[in-house]
Amino acid sequence: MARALREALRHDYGPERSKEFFDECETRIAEIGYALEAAQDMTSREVADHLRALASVGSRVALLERSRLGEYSWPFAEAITHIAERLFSNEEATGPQRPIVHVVAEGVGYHIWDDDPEQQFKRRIMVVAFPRHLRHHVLLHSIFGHELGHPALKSDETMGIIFGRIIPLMRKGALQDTVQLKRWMRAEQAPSQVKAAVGRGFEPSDDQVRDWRFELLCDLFGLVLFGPAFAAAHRMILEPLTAPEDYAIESATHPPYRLRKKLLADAMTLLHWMEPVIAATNTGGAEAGRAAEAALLAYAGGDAPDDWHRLIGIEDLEAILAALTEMFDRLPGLAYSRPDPEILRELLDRLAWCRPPIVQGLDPDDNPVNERVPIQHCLYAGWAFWFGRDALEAPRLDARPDMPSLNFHQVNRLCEQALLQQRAIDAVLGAAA
Amino acid sequence: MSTLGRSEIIARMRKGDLSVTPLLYADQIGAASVDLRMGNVVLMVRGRGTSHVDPAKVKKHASASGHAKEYDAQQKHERYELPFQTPFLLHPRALALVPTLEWVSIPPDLMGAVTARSTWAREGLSIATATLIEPRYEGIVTLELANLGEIPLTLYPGLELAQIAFSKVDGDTRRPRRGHFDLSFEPTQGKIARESDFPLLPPRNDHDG
Repeated sequence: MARALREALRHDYGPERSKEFFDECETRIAEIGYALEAAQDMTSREVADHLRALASVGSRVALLERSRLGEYSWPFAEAITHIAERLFSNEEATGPQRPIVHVVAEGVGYHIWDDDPEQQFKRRIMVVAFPRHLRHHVLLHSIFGHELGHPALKSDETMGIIFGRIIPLMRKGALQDTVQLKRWMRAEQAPSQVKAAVGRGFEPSDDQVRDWRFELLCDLFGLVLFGPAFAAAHRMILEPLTAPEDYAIESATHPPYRLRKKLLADAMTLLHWMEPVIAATNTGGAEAGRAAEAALLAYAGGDAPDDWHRLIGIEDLEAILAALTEMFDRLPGLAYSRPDPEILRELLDRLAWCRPPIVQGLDPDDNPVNERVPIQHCLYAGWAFWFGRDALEAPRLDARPDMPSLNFHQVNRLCEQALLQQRAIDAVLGAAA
Repeated sequence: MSTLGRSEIIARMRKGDLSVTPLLYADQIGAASVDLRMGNVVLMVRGRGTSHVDPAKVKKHASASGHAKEYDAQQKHERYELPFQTPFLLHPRALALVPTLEWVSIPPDLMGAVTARSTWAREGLSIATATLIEPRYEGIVTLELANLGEIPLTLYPGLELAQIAFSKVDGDTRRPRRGHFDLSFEPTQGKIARESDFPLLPPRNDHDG
C-alpha cells in the first residue's frame, strides 16, 4: 500500500493539494503498520478491522491517482474547497484542524466522500467528486450545495444547530415517524402510485424516515448556500430522471423528486427570492434582464406540485431557514445573498455579448475598475441569461448577426472563464487592500 | 492601416465594441497596445505522442472514423492546467501553447497583432507565430511560446508575457465561406491542412503516415 501511495505522485496534481493528502495517507498506513507490529495474538475480528482500515486507505490512494487537473473545473473546485474549509473548520483553524478537501473526476454524478467520524484520524479527508463528462458545466455544479450538506451533518461546527434546532423541526408531520409517514402515504390526495405501494404492503422504516429528513435538509442547505442557482441545477439534473408518475418510495433513500421540488419552491418563497432584483423601473434595457430573472426564478421555484407534496409545514420551514441562515452568518460572505441589480445587469450584458460575466470598467482617469463578484452571483447571472437569452441577445444579434445565439455549453464555459478571471481580480484586489 | 493609440483604445473600450478583460492595473494599457497575461492551460508536445507532423494525415483522416480522426489530435499534446502561483518550466527549444487570461473581443473594423513583451523577449521568450487576430474574434488568444534562450524559464499564470496592438481595417471583413462562429476558450491543435490543400497532397490510399 505504501508503494502504491508513493507511485501516486507520478501524476500531475494541483499545487500543495496532494501533499496534505499524501501525508495523511502515509500516517494512516504507518499507524496500521505499528498496530500490526504491536499485536501479539490478534483475534480474527481485529485482523478484519485492520484489513478494513487498510482497504479504506487503499481507496483513498486510488482517489489520489484520479485527481488530475484538467478533468474537472478547477476554478469551481477551488470554490468548493474554500467553502468546505471555511464551513468545517473553526475560524482560527489551520494545519491539522482544517479538513483536507480533495477533488477528483468521476464517471457518474456529484458526490462527496467523507471520513467516518467515529474513526480517529489525524486529519479529516473529504473527497469531492465531479462528473467527468460535465467538466465545464459550472451552472450544474451548483448542485454541490446539497452534497456539502452531508458533511455538515457530522461536523462539530454545524451539528449543534442541525441537531439542536433543525432536526426537531423536521421531526413533525409526515416525517415524525413511520406511522405518520404511512398515514400521509394513505391520504386521499396521495398519488395512486404511492397508494399502490402501500397496498402492496410497503412499510417505511425508521432509517428511511431519517434519510428523508437528511436529504431534505441537504436540499435546503444547498439552497441557502448557492441560492436560486442551486434550485435551477437541482431541477435540471433531477427532473429529467423522474417520470411524472414516478413516486418510487420503496427502498428509496431520497424522497421522490416532486417532494423535493415542493420544498424548494416553498423555501424560495419564504426567503423572498421569487421577485427579480432588477426593478421594473430601471431603465436602459432593464426589462430584458428582469424578464430573464423572472424566467429563472419561475423555473427554479415554480411549477410546484400540490400541497400533498409538502412534507414540512410553512412555519417550521421558516424556522429551519432562519436556523440555516444563522449557521452561515458566522461565515460572512459564504452563503448566497441577492445580487446588486446594477452589477447583475452588467453580468447579463457581458454574457449577451459572448463575454465572461465579470465586472470591468474604466474610471474617469482611465483606471480599470474591478469588483469582487461572488461565485453565487456569477452562477445566478449564468442561469438567468440562459432562461432569458432570447430577449437579452436581441440587441447584439441586430448589431452582430455573425455571432449567433450561445448554447448551454458555451454559457457554462463563459461562466467558468469568469470564475477563473475572478480569482485573478480577487488576488489583485486583496493585495491592494 | 493605422494603429490605435492609447486614447483610441480606451475610447473603443468605453464604447464597448473593443474589449480586453480583465484589466488588472492601469498600466496594462500602454501607448499603443494592451498587455496580455498568461492563462491557466499549457499544451506541450507529448514525448510518445505523434511521430511527426504531416498534413497528408489530415487529408487521410478527413473521411475516417471518429477514432482515427481524433486520435492524432488528442495524442499529440499533453495538456496541463495550472492554477495561479503554479510554476511552469519552459525549456530551451521547447514550444508551448498557452491561452491568455484575458478575453479579447475585436470589432469588425479592427484587427489585433500579438507580440512578446520586450522584457520577456530579452530573456529568450518568443511568441513567434500566428500573431494576427482577425476582426470579429471572440475569445482567449493562443500564445505560442518558445524559449530561444540557453536556460529554462519559469513562467506562472497571470504573468504579463505578451501585448496586443490594434489596427484599423478598411472594407468589409465578413468571410462568406467561413464556418460556424465559435468562441475560443483554450488552445487547440491547429488544422494544418484545409480542403483547399487536399489536391496538392498525396492521395488518401497511398499514404500510410
